[in-house]
Amino acid sequence: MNITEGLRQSLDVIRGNKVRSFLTMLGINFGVGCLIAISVVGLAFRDSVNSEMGRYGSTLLWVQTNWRAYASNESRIYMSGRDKKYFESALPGMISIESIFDANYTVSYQGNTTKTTVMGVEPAHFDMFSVHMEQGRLFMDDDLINKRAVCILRPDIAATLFEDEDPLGKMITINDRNFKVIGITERMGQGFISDGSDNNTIFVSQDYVATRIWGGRDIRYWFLIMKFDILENVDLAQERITHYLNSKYGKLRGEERFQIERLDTYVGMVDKILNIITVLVLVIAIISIVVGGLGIMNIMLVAVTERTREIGIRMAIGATSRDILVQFVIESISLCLLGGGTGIIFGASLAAIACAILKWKFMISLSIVLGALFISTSIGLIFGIYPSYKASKLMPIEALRSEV
Amino acid sequence: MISLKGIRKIYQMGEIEVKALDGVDLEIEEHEFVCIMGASGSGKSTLMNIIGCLDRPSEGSYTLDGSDVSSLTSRELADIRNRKVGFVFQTFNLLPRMTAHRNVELPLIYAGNNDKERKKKTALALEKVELSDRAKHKPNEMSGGQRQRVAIARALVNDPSIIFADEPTGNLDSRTGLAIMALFQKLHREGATIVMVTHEMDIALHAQRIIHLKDGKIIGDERVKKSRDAEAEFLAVADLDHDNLSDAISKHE
Ligand SMILES: Nc1ncnc2c1ncn2[C@@H]1O[C@H](COP(=O)(O)OP(=O)(O)O)[C@@H](O)[C@H]1O
Ligand SMILES: [Mg+2]
Repeated sequence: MNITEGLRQSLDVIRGNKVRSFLTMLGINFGVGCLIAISVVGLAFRDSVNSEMGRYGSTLLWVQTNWRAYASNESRIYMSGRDKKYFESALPGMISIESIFDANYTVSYQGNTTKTTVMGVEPAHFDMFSVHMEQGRLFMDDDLINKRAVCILRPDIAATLFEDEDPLGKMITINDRNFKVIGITERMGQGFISDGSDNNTIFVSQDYVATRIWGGRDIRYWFLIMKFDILENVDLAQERITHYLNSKYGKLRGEERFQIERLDTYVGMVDKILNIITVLVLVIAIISIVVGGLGIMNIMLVAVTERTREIGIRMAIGATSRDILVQFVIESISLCLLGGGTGIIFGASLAAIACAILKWKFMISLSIVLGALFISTSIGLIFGIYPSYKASKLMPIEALRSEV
Repeated sequence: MISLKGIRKIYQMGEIEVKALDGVDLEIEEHEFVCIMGASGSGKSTLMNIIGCLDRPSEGSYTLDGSDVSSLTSRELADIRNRKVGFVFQTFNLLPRMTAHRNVELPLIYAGNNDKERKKKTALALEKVELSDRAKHKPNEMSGGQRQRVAIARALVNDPSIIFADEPTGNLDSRTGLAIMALFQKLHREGATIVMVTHEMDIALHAQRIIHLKDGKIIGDERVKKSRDAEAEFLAVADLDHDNLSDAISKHE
């Protein structure tokens, strides 16, 4: 018995038992659908994370005071201006370094008063965090040199303070000091990393804050963020910074006084979470595939009983045990492939809908499709072999005499 | 060609032993046309199934064309059923989902013939039984006589040297039965060995030799001096489709 002949007979049988075949393949269909959906969505998610990372370059590293190491009333050690200078000079491949201060202040414009986050940033900030301007301009060196009191607004705070008025060039007060509005940023999207600002944040120049508000005292940093050209330099920086801070400030009861974090470890974390979700869905998929396989096995056992006479007839005209075995295995595989094939369509549709909603890129790879077909075939083989073996071991005359 | 010695077939039904065959010795030569007769339950089908390699005897030896059947593997037995013998059953035993053509083609598939050979041989076999025009019909779209002719075409398609027929006319009206017998006689003239089971003397008399079976034993084995000619009988029987009623009545008187 050759394969085409077996397939032809399987299709006859499936066509002759449409409802039953449909119900039988549902388990495989659902399982394969889950597999396809999770693979495609996983791929799309990774792709979206990667392109998000691409925007930041994934070569970000930040150092911050390790709050957890300290008891509540213990005085903390911060990084100094000299530390920052050391990092600037000693770390190869550094593109920018920045510290961020933020605090809540009362801000007002004419009658409108509210409390919001004011963030002291350096000019590099807007590039580092991909903040784009809607109106006006960024901070310029000129502002710093002349110590101008200027600020940039996020759109919501601009709307709160100015309502319908054009904010550019107007003076607002922050904590009783006057600042001139030079720009409005774009509305924030849902970025993967953030500087901690939201659509209500006001940016002011950190230099101004340092010189005017702190009054020229040596600045202390609890937070420094650096951007490098390549990942190797991030590695090197992490090593050098750790060594520098430890040898300068020492450890506290065996704990680091400063925490060093890298964006690429977050990518790894996202990967881990995705992996956990994948495993969960995989388990569901495998369970439903196995249950589907058992359904296939059950229906094949029924088919063998129902068609005992047919088996007898086939043997009477020359079918060998192997012919019968192959025929039923092909039937079982056909059922599974039918389930798997429709499952691919079902899963891909689910994934396409999910990707459309989440605005991710829908991609389906040939290897995923081939994998799903391979799994379906294997299930058909594994769960079809026992009923088929049973069929092949029937004695011709007994099968022929069967009344069913 | 067929040689049976001391064949027994015993079915153990709980406490009771049923001796379906109880010591059968039988020789059948090539080109014979043999009828096995006997009452219902006398063991005719059992004997037929054993010589047709569908069943194995409980005891005794069976030699087919010089080889001891009990020593053959199931694969070799399948090959014998495929090429050497052809089976025709009382209940036709066609596969209901398949057309006449597909039913007849099936033995060729198991024989491993390619598409072209299969087409040719199937068409030829259907032609022999005069059913070329019904090739695309499924069994339930055909009359009993046509179904049996499909079954005969299937038995013939691999050019077997022996044809076994177990009450092939049992489910047919007598006129159609005669047509089927005429077909067997034609096949016999063309060189086939035919072993047939029947319980009707009218049918048995078309053969050359009649074996009488009773309670699993052969109690008679005779040559038929002058076999009946089924073709002539068939033509003599009234056909209301062609004769008018009064001609038909006078033919029978
Ligand atoms: N599979 C079986 N199990 C038990 N008894 C059987 C079986 N097949 C046949 N028999 C018995 O063997 C005897 C002969 O049966 P069979 O060869 O079919 O007779 P026939 O074809 O002459 O009518 C009968 O008594 C029948 O009941
Ligand atoms: Mg019988």
